[in-house]
Amino acid sequence: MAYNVLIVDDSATMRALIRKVLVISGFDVGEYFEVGNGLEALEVLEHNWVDIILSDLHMPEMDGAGLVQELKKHEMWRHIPVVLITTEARPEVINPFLNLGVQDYIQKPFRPETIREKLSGLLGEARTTDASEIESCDF
Amino acid sequence: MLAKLKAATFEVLETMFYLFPESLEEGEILRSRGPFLRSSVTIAGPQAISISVQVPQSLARKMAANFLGTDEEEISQPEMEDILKETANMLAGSFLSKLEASAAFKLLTPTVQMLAAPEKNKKDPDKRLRFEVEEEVMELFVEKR
Amino acid sequence: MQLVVGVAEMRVSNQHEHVVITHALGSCIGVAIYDPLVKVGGLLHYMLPDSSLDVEKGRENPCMFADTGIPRLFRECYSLGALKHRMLVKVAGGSQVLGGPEHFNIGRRNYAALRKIFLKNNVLIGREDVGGSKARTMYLEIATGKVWVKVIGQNQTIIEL
Repeated sequence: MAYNVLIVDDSATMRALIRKVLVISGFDVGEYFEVGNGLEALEVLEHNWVDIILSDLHMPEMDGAGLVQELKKHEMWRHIPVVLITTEARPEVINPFLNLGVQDYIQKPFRPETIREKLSGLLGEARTTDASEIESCDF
Repeated sequence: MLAKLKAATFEVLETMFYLFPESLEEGEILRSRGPFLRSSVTIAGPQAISISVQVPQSLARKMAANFLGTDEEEISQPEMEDILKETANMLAGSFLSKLEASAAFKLLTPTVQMLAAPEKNKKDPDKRLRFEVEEEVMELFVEKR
Repeated sequence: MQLVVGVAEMRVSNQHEHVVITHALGSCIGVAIYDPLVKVGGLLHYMLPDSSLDVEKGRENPCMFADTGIPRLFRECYSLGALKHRMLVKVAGGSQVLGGPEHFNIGRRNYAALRKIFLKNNVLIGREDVGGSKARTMYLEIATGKVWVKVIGQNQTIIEL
């Protein structure tokens, strides 16, 4: 089964890195949706099936807290797993989200291998894959 | 406090950019050619401060290429600006974690600007960190808001 | 039968009776790669992060540096039938002999160089045992792809990676 992934982060380069790591990890991703804040994320959810949301916390317009609150209000979205990818690791900031049912969090700066580990299971099994289609490699 | 910011800088640059900053002593001369990029992020709260990071564009290009795992030629101007904002954001976040700051301190969205010449910070010169990174200068400023 | 990899050397093999070994990994890094389908593996023991430090040496002895040694390790395994997307990657070494982050820490730089090269070339590390201050010995069994690391110290522990 392929998973549709929604990446919510106001940094386009951060979204690109997260996406690259998901591809290298060999997760079975169907569609990628990338947006820059919570409002845009809700817009994507209105029109598309999403299996997992990877979201930053600090963003303009609607931040990660606003997004998670909206998700929990809607029957359709309440059960979509959310993993926060954020510079925050302070327990006072993170714990309220975990209590709200956010699955997990990954602190920036991160290593690519940490993304693969944390998302294994939520995104099926990481398998070795031929990622050579993404770009040219030295070997 | 500056020691924690320094530790945050080492952590962020090593983990996400594969770079190793070395502290420059006050007065130690190392010049980089402009233009420069400077990104600032405000930490709002009981004692609001801003943390700024300033690098020559050539270093921002290298940082973006390392971050994305691509070649420097592939990097666009918006990507350089974006990566510097993300650096300021990660530095401030890692700094707050190391300080074990309460949730009353909040990170705001970083801003970025391009400067023809390196901006001096004359008001508060002791709240400054200078590093050599790949033979270029990276400067960090901490200012009260 | 043991195939010993010296400092700044590598060995690749598809012979089931081979166990590839490298000793004395301090700040150096050992990289073991293995394709379980064709049972081809290789082990590299490099010393320094970047051949731009000494381009001449890099040409003479590519296995001395991460940026010249790692591509060569993969390519030699490809020449024995291994495919990149099946490769399992295990890493050990990169220990730190003195000081904190301000010291010119060759072990950490060696490890960061590897991670940079891997990201650029779409490779993730499967298992690793890096850092600390001890020296290590690394073993790769070609028949199974199993990798062990022996940490040199008072109680010499052996762990499977």
